[in-house]
Amino acid sequence: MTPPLLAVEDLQKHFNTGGWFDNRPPVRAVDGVSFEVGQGTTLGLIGESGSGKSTIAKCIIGIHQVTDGQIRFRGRDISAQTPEDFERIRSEMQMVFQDPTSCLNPRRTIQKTLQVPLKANDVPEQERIRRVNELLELVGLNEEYLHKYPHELSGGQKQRVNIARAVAVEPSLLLLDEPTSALDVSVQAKIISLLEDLQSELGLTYLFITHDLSLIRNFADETAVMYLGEIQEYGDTDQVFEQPRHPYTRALMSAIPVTDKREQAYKPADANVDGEIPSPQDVPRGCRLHPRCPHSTEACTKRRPDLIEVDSAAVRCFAYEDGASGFEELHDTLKARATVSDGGESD
Amino acid sequence: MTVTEPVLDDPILEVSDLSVGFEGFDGYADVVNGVNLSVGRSEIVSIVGETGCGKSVTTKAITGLLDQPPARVSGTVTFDGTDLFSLPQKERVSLNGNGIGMVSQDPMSSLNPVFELGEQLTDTAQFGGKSPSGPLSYVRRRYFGEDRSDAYQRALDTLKQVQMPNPEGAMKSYPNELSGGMCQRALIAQALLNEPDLLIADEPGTALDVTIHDKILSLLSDIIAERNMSILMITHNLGVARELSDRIYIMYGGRIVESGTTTEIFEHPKHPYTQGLLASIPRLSSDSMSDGIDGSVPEYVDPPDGCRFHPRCPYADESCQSQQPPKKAFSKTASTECVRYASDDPGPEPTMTETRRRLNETAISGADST
Repeated sequence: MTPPLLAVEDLQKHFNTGGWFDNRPPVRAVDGVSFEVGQGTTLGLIGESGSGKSTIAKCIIGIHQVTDGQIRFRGRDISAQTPEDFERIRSEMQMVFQDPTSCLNPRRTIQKTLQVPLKANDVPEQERIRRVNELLELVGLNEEYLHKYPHELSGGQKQRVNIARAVAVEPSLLLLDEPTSALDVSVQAKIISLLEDLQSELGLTYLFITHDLSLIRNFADETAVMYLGEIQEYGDTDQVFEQPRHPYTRALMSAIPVTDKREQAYKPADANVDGEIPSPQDVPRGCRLHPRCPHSTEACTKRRPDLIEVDSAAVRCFAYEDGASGFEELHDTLKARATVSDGGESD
Repeated sequence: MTVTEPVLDDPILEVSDLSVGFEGFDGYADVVNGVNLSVGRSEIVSIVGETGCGKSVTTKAITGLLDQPPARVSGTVTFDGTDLFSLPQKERVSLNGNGIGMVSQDPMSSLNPVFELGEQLTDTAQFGGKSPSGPLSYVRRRYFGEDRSDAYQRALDTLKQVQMPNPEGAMKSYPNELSGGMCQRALIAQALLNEPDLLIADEPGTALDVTIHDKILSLLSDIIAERNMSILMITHNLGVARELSDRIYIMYGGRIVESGTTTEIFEHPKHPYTQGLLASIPRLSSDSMSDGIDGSVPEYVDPPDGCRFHPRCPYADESCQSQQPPKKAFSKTASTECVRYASDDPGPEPTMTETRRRLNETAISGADST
């Protein structure tokens, strides 16, 4: 088996707060995260804001210095690189950000914007112009756009330019940080199908960060659900959505407003979490979800659960430990769901 | 055949033939074009459409928040039997907050960052609905009036009603100390303080996380049930509209293209735009998703002739460009504006499956316009 393109192992990123006389604890934005992304596949990372999704992407691409843990790209650890080393690796990985407008220089035409990464990679000028035309065509824009400024473009078009700029240096890994959350659904669908086309055409690998579960369902091969800097559930996308095991995944799914009865039936009923996400500076002891979890027991408050393998997914919840008690309600609803989805498989 | 709005007995808000345009450097932008809508008593009505379809401008015209000029507003807006556009400015302003409450989109930027939340809410409770007065009378009422503590208590009670965690503490904090969900709750409380009959909610909670968003929506629907209020909600999320509202208006390019009860819109969507929007939503239960609608909302300075949706419509032909499509009613509540439903039209009637197929087809042939 070939090694995964990107492997993150026990990644930790803590931000120190305060000055000399301030001994508040550090913000544990990412706290022991491990995952792998295989060549040409998509890993979806979901969670509420403040759960550390974007921090992971920024650690991978070197915007943040890693506190502890390893990030292996093509088998090589890149977590403690010098800036010069990073410069070489960066053309292998690129990032697309959430807000398409603020990522584009308002005083550069699209042509100039797209030439920047090529210039940085010492592509000769004639070659650059040819490449820019190719790139525009690749993302479904025509040459009319070459001499336009960002303010003349719609949100979807700007995001296409951002994607074109990201793939300009022929990277193998794209980090997509909520690339469609600022767009309308009709445009979002377009961008997603563009990303799918690019993936099959260029063999790209995606780390897709979003808070929209239904989007992940349509797009990602594997899904990791994050909460307060930890992965709570990790597995095959179908597996995670067919049988959401972690109370947090279930809560996220039940909170989505859906548009027809079949979808409504698909959502786990009555799986709400209370309150809001706590500050990562002061994480709850034990299981991090327990103050909000409807199923929490005494054991949850005492020690931190490990990721437990259930079928082909991994879940960080005591309910799936051998000999766990107090989770009958959760297991009952899971069983009920399994029988329903077996019966409804035909359509 | 022209059909008027579904006749509601005694609606709280009735908007007829509302048009709003703006004078700009590029010419006259015709942003809202002949909108008819009505909100019944204790009814929740949603306006759904993409960004730039004129939804927020419509509500701003209703509440009188548009400066004229540069805006040009025509048509009539009747609230509780009074024609709003013929009211004197003073009376109209005093209606805002008292008769019509508004919750705006971005919770973090809608509160004043230099005042404590308590102060802002108490001011609303004390001065809301009173016509604007000079600084001297403000100071007199603020510091020498007796009803300040009453108002404070009322603000606190309302905060409790919207389930603000630690309401006493929240009253003493500045907006930057509150989370997005708490700010949104505070804004809803502020809108409810003077017990308006109609609440206009402009994308409530869109900026928040799904779990919090869900809570805010259920909070809103509880409050409406309790207070017998009406809501006019603006959203671009069809799922939200389905969960909360009784009736839905679909808006595109400054016109209402389809209206109907929630069941009618979701079970039998008629207009190709509604169908396209529905098809573009990623599904939770399966991994099939259409490729979205080509193009983007029209330029309002030079809108397309005829049906404004025709440059993006998978069913468009010459007849769409030549005439404004007639309004066709299907039931007392459902109607749509599309040529394909005219009795003498040869084209096929848009259906969900056909729209899905056509959208995916056009996506393959030419994707250069999104």
